[in-house]
Amino acid sequence: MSDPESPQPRTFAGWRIGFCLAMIVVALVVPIRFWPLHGVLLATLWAAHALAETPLSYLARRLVVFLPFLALLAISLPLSQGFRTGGELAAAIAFRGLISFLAALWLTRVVSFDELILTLRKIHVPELLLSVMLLSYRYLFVLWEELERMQTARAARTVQPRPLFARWRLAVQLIGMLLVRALTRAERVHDSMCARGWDGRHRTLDQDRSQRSA
Amino acid sequence: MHIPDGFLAPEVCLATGAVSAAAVGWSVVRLRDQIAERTVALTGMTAAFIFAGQMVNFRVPIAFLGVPAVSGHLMGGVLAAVLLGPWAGCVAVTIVLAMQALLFSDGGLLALGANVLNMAVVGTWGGYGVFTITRRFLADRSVGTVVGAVVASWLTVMAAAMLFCVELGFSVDRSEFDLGRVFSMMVSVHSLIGIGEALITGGIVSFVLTQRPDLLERDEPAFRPRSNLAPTVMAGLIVALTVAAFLAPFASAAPDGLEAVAESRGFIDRAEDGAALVLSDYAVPSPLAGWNRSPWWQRLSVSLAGMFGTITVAIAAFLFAKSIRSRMQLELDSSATPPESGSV
Repeated sequence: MSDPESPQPRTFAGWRIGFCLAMIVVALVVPIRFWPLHGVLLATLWAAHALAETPLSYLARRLVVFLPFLALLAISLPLSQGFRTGGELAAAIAFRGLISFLAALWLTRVVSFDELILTLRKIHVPELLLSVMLLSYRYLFVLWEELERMQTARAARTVQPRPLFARWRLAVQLIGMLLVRALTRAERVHDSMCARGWDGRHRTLDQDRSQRSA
Repeated sequence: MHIPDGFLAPEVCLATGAVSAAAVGWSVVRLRDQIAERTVALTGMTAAFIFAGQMVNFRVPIAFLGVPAVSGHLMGGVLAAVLLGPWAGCVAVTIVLAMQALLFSDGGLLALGANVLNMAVVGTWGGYGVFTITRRFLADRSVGTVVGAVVASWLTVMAAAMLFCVELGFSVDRSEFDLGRVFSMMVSVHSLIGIGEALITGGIVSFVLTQRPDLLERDEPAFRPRSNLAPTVMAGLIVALTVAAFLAPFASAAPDGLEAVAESRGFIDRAEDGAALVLSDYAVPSPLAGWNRSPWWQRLSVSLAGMFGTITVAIAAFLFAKSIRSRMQLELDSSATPPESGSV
């Protein structure tokens, strides 16, 4: 994520989103026999990540999860014909998947959530969707922390049961309790939003700044 | 479940994106029409909850490709529909998928339309439809809620898997892979995944029903129960089994029909030699090794997977119904004493 406190947004976020989408579209449209082009795309993305100062450990952690999944998907189609054909298809899926993944990761590094919302507003995504998105982004981390607290509290109080059924039941109760707490919190949040004069539209600091300077 | 970019052709991404945009747009319009007091806060919080709830792992002690145990998590489409109704539910799940793609690179950016169609639109609209129809047939409202959620969860997971096969069929040249085999693999695997989702959703709904039943009360048209539990469940089970047994082979015969086209072009001769034993993974393993490659066993395995799923989901729904009934009764009996708070 870029620094939300930075005084000026560097460029219009739409360009960065457009660049990312263009990379993915080119990777999808160009046939894999022009593989040097896919190599160029990968190199460009590597350079883009270097410019965005993506830590290697950040990339490595995500690739460790994503690459086996991608490999499994890539071989699943040729496997359906016993590997007699489809090697090219597997290579295409692997290359395109990797390029798209790196492009999307780059986007999350260089576009802040506020910028994303502003861009979506510019292309006339309904305000209701944006409000819901902002709210869920705001409370996602709160609920994650709440879940962690509940897991710690449960681990401190109970012994981890052996039977599968009992473990599933505990996990279901944990989620159920999180749901009850989340919905109760939603009522409180709504009341406090109304108390602060919420009119159905969210405002961000960047937007206010640009309006004042205009 | 999240389709990454690279799998689907750009045209398929565009088409599914257009359908999803229309469906989500319609949901937003309907939501705006009937905007209730707390809709935005509730929808946003439910989206955040589904996201956070997916962090809880459900381990299954089944070895898969060398990994000693597989673990799954809640998907939440039907849960969102049960909590919020189809319109707000669709919006909530769409937001979850969009944030997963945009902020965590989980699922492709171009494939977002396909993911939204498979999980958010079919998951909540279809799930809500199945949920209300099932609930309407059951006399006891809480039993109906749990049974409806369980049945809808299983069916929406299966529907998402089948939709993915259709999208894949339109994306990749059919001479390059065997759509029939991929279809039977997807259906077999997802009938198990669907059972997991049905159990998790049923468990959460019955937990909320005993703790805070008011959270599941929504303004709806007058509720008219039709009949008793046992005959309805039996009738539903028979219908579902018949469908699973007789329609599933036809469903898997459709891709075989596509193969017929490939055959006429002379591609199929590659598909029939003896080295394809790896493929037994793609269907329920047959008792005789030679059967694995026969097309009718492939169809039968889809039927078996469908029937196994149907029976398991029916048993799960019955057990959930029984336990929720006894818990509700217990609560009525001890209504003089204050209700116990949650165990966590």
